[in-house]
Parts: sequence; structure tokens; C-alpha cells
Amino acid sequence: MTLVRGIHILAHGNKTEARNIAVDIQQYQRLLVGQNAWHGAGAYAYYVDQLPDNLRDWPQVLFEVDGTKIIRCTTPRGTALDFFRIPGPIGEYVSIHVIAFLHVWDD
Amino acid sequence: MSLHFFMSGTTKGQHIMEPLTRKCLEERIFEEVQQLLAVGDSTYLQGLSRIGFIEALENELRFLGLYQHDDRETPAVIRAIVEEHADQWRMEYLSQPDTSISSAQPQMPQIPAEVESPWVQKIVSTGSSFQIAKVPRYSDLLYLQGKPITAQDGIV
Repeated sequence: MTLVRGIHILAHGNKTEARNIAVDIQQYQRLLVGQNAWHGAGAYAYYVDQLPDNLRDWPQVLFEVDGTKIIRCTTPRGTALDFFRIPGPIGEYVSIHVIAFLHVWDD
Repeated sequence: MSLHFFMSGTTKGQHIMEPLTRKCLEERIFEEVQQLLAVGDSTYLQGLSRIGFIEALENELRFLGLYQHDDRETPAVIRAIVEEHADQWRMEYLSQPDTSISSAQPQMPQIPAEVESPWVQKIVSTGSSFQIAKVPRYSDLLYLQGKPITAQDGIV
């Protein structure tokens, strides 16, 4: 099985909310599929080495996921973007393996 | 930085942004939205309701670093701008011929690579020499500039 490492940004940078979300993610090893994403339903994450600079200090979870469970996001012309989604129904969860939380518990 | 300091007054409890500031932000939003529409999955987006389209745009704009997460004013202004122009964007976008490739059916079935980050172990794949590290950044495609937009950008 090929594992892919990703970074999911928590609560759009809101640290207080991110801490609440992190508890659930850690306990159940899952991400919630939110509404109205631009590239289709799913939990979104950047490839670990392609996180944009402006998001590096935002609260985030580093995780691993089975590479067969993800879909790389592309432009209409097929150019690969620097993030992927783990497809799933809106409002439900997708499974991940948490490695670490970053910028969540620090002040 | 919040746009709060650049509000010129209030009407019915709501701030009124300096016209030039709003114009600057509006131009930036227009630029970003055009890029987002260019990279979006039109088949999927056409299926969104008006509200869904607006909220999807808002979600994307959050990740462009246009404002700090504790900034309350700028997202409200962005929401107003997006709502004001959503119908125009949807009409223009929906009127385009659908030549997109669904993100649910990516062209690259396997992503290979020797990723240089120490966090990433070797990601194995077959049949391609594509390197993740050489993939253009989403932010580059969107012509993202490094700093968050502030009202000062619009002051002359």
C-alpha cells in the first residue's frame, strides 16, 4: 500500500476552533467532509511538501492516508495542483492516520 | 491587519469601507476568481446552487491569504463582493463550453516521486517519471502574492 502524507488546515486558521477539531481528529483519526468545496466533495489537504508559505503558521494536522483513497486535484487541462482530496459524502468522515498537529496547542 | 481602521463611517450599525479600499479589494477578488474559475471543475461547479457557489468561492478565497483569520471586516466585504457578482460569474462560467476534465477522473492515476521533504517517505508508483516537487503550486497558478491584502493597498 502506498501512503501519502498530507497537511489539512484546521478551522481556516482559527486556533481556538482548531483545538476543538483536533480533539476529534486525534480520537477518531478522521476528517470531516465539509460543504461547498471548489473541486468536489471531500476532505482536502496539501501534499506535505507543497503547503503554501502563507499557510505554514496556521493550525494544521499532518497525516498519512492510503494513496488509493485520494484524488489529486487538477486544472481543467489536467495540470496537477498541490493538494488532493479524500472523497466522501458531505457531512461524513474519511479516515486518516494522524502523525502530528502543528500550531494547534502552542500559544 | 484589519480593515477596521479604514472604515469611514457607519450606516445602520454597519461600517462603510473607503471606496478606494473596496475598489482595490474588488479588483483583487476579480483577479483571483477568474483564476479559480479557470482551474475549477466546471461540471461539478455547475451543479452547485447559487449559495453553494458563493460559499465555495469564499472557502477558496480564505486559503489565498487575503486576510488574517481574526480579521472580521475583510471577509464580510469579500462576501458582499462575491454575492454582488456571483450571478455574473456563474452566467459567464456556465455559458462556456464544458471542456473540463473532472477532478474525479484525474489523468494521472499514480503519483510517483522522490519527495525531498524529510517528512515524506518515498512515495512509490509505476509508469511515470512525474515528480511531485516540480508540480506548480496552486498559489503560483493563482498568481498569489505573498502578503495579505490590506486597506492600505488602496490608499494613495
